[in-house]
Amino acid sequence: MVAAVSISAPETNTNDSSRNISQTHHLAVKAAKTNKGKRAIEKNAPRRKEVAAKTLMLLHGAVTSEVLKSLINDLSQMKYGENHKMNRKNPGIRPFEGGGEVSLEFFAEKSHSATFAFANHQKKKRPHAITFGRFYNHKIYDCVEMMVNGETFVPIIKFGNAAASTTIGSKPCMMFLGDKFETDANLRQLKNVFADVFRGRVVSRINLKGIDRAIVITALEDGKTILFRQFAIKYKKSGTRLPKVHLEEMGPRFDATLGRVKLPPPDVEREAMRVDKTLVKEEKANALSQGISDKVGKIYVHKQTEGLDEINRRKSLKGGLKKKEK
Amino acid sequence: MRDDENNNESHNKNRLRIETTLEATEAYTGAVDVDVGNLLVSETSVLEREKFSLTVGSLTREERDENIKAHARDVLQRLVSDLFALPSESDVNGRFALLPPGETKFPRSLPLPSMEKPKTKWEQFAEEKGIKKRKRSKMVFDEQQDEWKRRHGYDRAKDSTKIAIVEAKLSSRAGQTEDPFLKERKDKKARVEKNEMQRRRNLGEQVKEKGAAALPATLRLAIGAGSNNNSSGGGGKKGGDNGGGVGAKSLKSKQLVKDVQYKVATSTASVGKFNAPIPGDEKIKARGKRRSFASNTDDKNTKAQEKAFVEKLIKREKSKKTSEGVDVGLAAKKMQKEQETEKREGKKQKLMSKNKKKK
Repeated sequence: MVAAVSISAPETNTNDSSRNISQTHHLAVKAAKTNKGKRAIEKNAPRRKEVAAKTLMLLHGAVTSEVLKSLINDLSQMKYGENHKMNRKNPGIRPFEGGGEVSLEFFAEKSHSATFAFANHQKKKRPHAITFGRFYNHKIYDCVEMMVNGETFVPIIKFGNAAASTTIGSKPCMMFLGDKFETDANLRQLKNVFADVFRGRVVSRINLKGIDRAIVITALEDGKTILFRQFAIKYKKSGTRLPKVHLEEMGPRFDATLGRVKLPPPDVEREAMRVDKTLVKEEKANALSQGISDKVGKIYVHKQTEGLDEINRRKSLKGGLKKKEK
Repeated sequence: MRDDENNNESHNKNRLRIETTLEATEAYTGAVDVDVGNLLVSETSVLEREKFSLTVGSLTREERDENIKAHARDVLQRLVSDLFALPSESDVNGRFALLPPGETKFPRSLPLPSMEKPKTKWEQFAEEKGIKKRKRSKMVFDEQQDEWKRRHGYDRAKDSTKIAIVEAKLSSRAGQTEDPFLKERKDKKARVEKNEMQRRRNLGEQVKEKGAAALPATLRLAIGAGSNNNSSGGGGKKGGDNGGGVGAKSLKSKQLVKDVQYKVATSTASVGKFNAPIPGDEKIKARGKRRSFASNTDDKNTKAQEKAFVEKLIKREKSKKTSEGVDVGLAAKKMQKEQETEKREGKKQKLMSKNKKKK
């Protein structure tokens, strides 16, 4: 796919380059050899505006459990077409410990994944632990760990036919319930991670019929318990032009306790949050666009009472006006 | 989060119209953050304990799940009402709401590509001279062929390589007449090569200035290669092997010739030992590792050889350590020793001076 092409960039004169190698600037560049290869590289190259869904890498740690296996399967179903599922055990991966992220980052780069869910079961210390996280430039950006309550876990398959009405790989609605998502720093991070993991690709328009599932995450008052639910959305007539929403649980369902949280380093965060300024349109002051064709503008007009002021000062006139009002 | 107020504003504006529908659909009436662009809703009021907390009262799991479902439905209704209020366009597949860009900020997955594309030499020149690009038509009328043709590329107008009859001067000397067709082909090749050279030079300058990030995604620096300031590239040895090192092209071809020479010279029955002497042959050397074995029978030199070997090993290990960085343990030991000797000497001198005074 790639061929080596050497490039020589002489500093002074091309004729001297062969004589004096040490003084010339040489570098070898690998160029894509075929168009197919070129396209493959360009597909995964950095972009000004990131529109594609972040691929979710799903993998297991040294020890895993039935609950986690099932959950990972369900996650792959929820992220259909946008996930990279791996089946082998990975004893070397520990996202929260120094050096434990090496092979995770390696896999991320290989699979072009920007998010991950890592399932690891430590019976006493961290039972049914699943870590959600993100990568920036193939390096771990942040991660959030939670211990799934094995008793409460219900996989998609147990909900029977509820998921049948949804389209595979559709863009889900997401709901975050509870004030802790606003007040607690860890849960705020968790909210952003979850939203990023499940939001799918960025779209400019969406089929209203296609909005067919909602992920609901509730944070309880203890600031540690998270309730994860997914519902199928059905529309019913309400008598107005707006349909009435009806929910049917489709799974997976689990309750989890928040574990370790790794926030992004501030400098990396600043770097990762950069937005291409050329893409952000500057909004014109006082202009509101309503829909495609309508544009409403606001115009500032000076006070029109300048002439009236003098008239108003006259006592006789003031009284007259008051009388009229009464 | 920040947009809650905006949303409320828009709700208030359309109050008369939406309020009825919201009521009819039993939507949640409290404050809600709606990020329509990401289909994201957050309802961040404090949850009612009786409805969600298992520790308070006699709430069962099933009841709580029902409560979540009911609450989520009401909140979702708000998102749906916002979605249906968006401008939309119809299609064979149904009605499409035109989504505004999302308001929640998410980190990028890959760094933002550099905004400025480094200028080529021509672009720099054009800027200096104030030369601006002019748009030229793709098609040109070819008078010779009497039809419209592309300006460049395959089947182009005025293709100099496809002219059937060309005027040529006959040279007075026999065999010296230049073939105009051959000349044109040669010239064309030279032009292509020149362009390629300029392209490479531009790339090289860009990398030198801005590093590997300046290259387009389909080009990347090979392993072991780098600019002048990148000395850790492993150059030398590797460069010869994979052709990707410093000054790869010229070195590679030279080395290739040498390799072939060596192979030919050693491809005799005696592996090159009893070849008839050819001038310059003695210079041919094999690349790569050569192993020499100590003699098993030569008792005279074995001891000396062994000693030399061990010394060589030690030397190598030592040099490794220094090249890799500072051996902290060793350095600490050295420092300690120095300090100790200093102390000792200081004490000695003190004693000496005392003794002198006593005398």
